[in-house]
Amino acid sequence: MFNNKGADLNNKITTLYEKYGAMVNRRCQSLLGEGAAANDATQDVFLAVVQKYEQLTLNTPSSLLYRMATNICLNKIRQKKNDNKLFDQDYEASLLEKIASVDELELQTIREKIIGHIFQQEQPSTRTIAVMHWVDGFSLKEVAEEVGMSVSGVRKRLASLRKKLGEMKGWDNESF
Amino acid sequence: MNHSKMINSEQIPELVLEQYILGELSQAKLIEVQQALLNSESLRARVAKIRRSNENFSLPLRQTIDLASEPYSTHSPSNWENFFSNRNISLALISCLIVIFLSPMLTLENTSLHQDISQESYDIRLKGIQPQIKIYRQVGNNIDQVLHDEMVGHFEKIQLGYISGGKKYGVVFSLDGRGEVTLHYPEKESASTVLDKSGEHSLAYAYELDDAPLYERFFFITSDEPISVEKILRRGKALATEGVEVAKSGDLFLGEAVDQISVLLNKEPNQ
Repeated sequence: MFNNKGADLNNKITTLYEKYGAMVNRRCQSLLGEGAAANDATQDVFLAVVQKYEQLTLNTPSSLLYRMATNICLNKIRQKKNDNKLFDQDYEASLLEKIASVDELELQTIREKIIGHIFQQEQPSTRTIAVMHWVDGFSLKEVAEEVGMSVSGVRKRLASLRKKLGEMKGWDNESF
Repeated sequence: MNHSKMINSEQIPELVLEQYILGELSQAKLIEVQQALLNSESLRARVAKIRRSNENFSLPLRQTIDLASEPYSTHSPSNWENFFSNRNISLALISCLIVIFLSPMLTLENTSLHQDISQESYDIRLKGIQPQIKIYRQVGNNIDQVLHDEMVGHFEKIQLGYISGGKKYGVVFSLDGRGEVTLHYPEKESASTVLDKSGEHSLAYAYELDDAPLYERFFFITSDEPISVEKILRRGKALATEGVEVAKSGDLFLGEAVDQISVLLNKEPNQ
């Protein structure tokens, strides 16, 4: 049994899940394919919400949950990138693996990190930004609005990531 | 002209549709989506699909409060259990055993067949049959091919063609200096992306360039697996927002099973 605080949080999470669980699950399926991996990732998203509930700003939960789902799925892809059966043999698997396997860029200054910590803001992952732009097709402006950054900030991160991905073997499939 | 400019409805990302259904869109965005819904059957179908999925969603929530207060643990099979429950590995082991037992026989009996196949593959590679996109324009009475990085004029009429290079599926689209994406093949987003494999294939209609500045870049995306036109176009549109230099030369991020080639045409400066 939960204490009052626990019961209260449980109710909030249950309400959140009832409203957003299906959306989160669809997002996970879009990245991991239909199946157990996507269902596990869905649960992990709400587990993360419980763990961080006090720090989260839930004005528009869909944006936050969508980003959290993306990030958690990318972590799963990264962990299991050698297990081809994580996915159906979808042609996008290799793309997501590449994005997932790029180390988080050291683009934030220490000052940004400190300010972020002080205001308890979750810094958007560059990998999540990349998936939103290159996989989901969000424009830079839309990504910027979703993650609360400037367009130039998003562009800068993507430019660095594009360069890094370009250096990875096998990316250069352009020919004329 | 049969090549319609891509309308906004087709560029609406999934999250925006989710937010529309959840009632979390800003007023301006809501109006934009409502307008797009009126004009686009495919968008209405996407919304209906999400609603159906919501109704059918039945995955129960794990007891998150308990889990959050303890180290996260689920049933975790032993390493060996994991190893053998992995279907990939099991299949790989079985395949290896089959190969080990049968390979001497195959080697002895099929040497000539193997040579034939190798020769055939070699010939194909020699002939260099790779997917190609071809662009032609009429100059006087002649039809000239327009090559990568060449200059073209505004309102010039061009004819597009492709060589599938043995690929089963393909999409042809262009990106212009205004960031507009135009689908050339298939003619509609919902149409089949199956390619004609018989040599060079001309698209059904000629295409007139408009007055968009700077460039027109034509992409030919091919794969042996079916391709989602909607996704390709959305990513093309996203590429355009990364700035002119990236739009002119950057790759679309598509994954290794999908090939992309592109031809860039530079636009003559406005007089």
